[in-house]
Amino acid sequence: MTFSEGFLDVLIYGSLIWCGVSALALAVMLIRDGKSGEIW
Amino acid sequence: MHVGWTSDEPVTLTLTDPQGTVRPVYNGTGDGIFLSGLADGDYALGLVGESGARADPITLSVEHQSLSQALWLAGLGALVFLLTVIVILRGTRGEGTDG
Amino acid sequence: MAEDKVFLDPTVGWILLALFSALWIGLGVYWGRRNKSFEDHALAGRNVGLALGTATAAATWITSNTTMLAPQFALQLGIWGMLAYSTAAFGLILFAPMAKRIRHLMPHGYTSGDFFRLRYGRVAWAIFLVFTLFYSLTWLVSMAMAGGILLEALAGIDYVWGMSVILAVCVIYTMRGGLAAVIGTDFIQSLIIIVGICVTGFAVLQNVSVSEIHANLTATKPALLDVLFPAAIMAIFNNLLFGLGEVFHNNVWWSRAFAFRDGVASKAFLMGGLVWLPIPVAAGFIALASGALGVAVPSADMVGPLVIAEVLGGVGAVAIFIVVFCSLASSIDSLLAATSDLITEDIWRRLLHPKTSVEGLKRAAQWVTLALGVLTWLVCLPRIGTLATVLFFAGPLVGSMIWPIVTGLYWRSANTVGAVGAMVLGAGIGLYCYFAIGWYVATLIATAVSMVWTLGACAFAKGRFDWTRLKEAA
Repeated sequence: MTFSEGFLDVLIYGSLIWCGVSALALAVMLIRDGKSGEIW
Repeated sequence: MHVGWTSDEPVTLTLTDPQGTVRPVYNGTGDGIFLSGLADGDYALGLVGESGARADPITLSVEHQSLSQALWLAGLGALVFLLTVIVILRGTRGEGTDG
Repeated sequence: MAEDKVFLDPTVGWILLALFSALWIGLGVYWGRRNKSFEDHALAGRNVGLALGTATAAATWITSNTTMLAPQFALQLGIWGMLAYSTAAFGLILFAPMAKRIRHLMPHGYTSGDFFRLRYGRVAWAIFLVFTLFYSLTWLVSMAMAGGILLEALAGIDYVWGMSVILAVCVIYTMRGGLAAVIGTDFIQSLIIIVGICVTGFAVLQNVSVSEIHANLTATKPALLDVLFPAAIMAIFNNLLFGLGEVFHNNVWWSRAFAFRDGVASKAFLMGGLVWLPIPVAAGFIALASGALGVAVPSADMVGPLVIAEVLGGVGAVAIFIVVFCSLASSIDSLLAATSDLITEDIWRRLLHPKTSVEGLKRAAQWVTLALGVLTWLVCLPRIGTLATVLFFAGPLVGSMIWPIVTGLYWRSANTVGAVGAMVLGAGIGLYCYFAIGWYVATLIATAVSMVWTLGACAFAKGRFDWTRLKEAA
């Protein structure tokens, strides 16, 4: 039994897109915290 | 697994798999390569220099660890992990009271 | 010799090193000006928000190991190797509810040592200190050494110089800026790392498609695609429990639980874990592409840089240099800060000088940071390769602390006999198995043994712990 090509596809693209989304989310959260003066 | 050699000319390394199929795995001037991911079985490695000089072939036997032992350990790991998760989640739900 | 291959011109390497060093030190000094007391220095005023909290949890957990070892794991253990590495994210995710509980039980706490001392007494505290200092110091040494080795391999910067510069930069900004500097720089570092990995990943996929990678693996390295690859299956839970033990006990994570603002701690750890989760796959899959791209790999630990340099050339080499430098700095600084706070609070204040003022404690913490840095530097100087492998001994030690910590936070019946026995027996039997059977069972068996002992001790316990005893005034 082996991992299929489709699985590898989803895994690789999924994690790369996830990385991109989380980078965006971090930036958005910082801006939001900054606006309400709650960075630290 | 690391395979190393010494040579002063470019070399070609070939790998013969248990079915007898020969394929090149390295071609160049380096002095070593990392091999991994082979299935169980006996392999033969052959090294040929550009000038045709030929090293003695070496055989390579690949045997992976026992699957049943691996599954037992994975089962034990899953149990320990699951119990840890249960303690944390139950404790979080009943916060303040005795878990 | 291919292993000596340098990816970047040393001059470019030095310029990058100098630029980033200046940036981190400048920010550390700038943010350090806010710190007046030990509480400001060690816990950034206990008021860190969600964005910085999430980023610091993720960045600290992204070590040079994540960016360098994940490809190696993928090459040795295949798809399962990457997935097994990703499970370390559960350490952060499961710590999220615990962080909330910790803040609730110990509103004035400083370190994980405080918890062991107040919850289980001095014997358990002493064992904890030995275990955690062993783990923290070997982690610190292994990362500083990795820094020197990587800078040498990537840019031809001499090992001693590279190691010294990385360590010195981290010591200076951690000393001056305390946890605030660590957390602030972590945010920038985490963005650089994540964007860097994402961009290089997509760039590699421009040159080779997933179906080519899959076809090449099927033809030449079928075991890496095997769903039932025994070595990889064994690694999964061992790795997972190692990660759990590392996060649950170490002051790196406890100090963050104390530093985050009310209501932020559990969210930040959960999101930090989610941010971290895809990184081993995103950074690791490029190793699987080495065959399809025709990149010869002389040694497994350099597979990542080899593939990226082949595909992206000079730009890729610069990117990898920056990502590696950031992932090293984001972990070394956190470890320096948290370990020096642990030594300051648990040894200096609680054992030796209970009457030190808050300014005095801050100064003590700064000197301890410097001393730790110098000690690490001295240990790293001779470049003893086997030292880094000592970190794997820490698996059983940290695994054996999982159950004493979890039950100690949630069960009144958890007690000293349970905690001490669990740590001693778990670590002892785990270490024995490490040598008798192999690394891949050590953490698992240590955790299982300590779990059984803890459960037994709780079942027979007569006393019930009074939670208010954890609310010791500062």
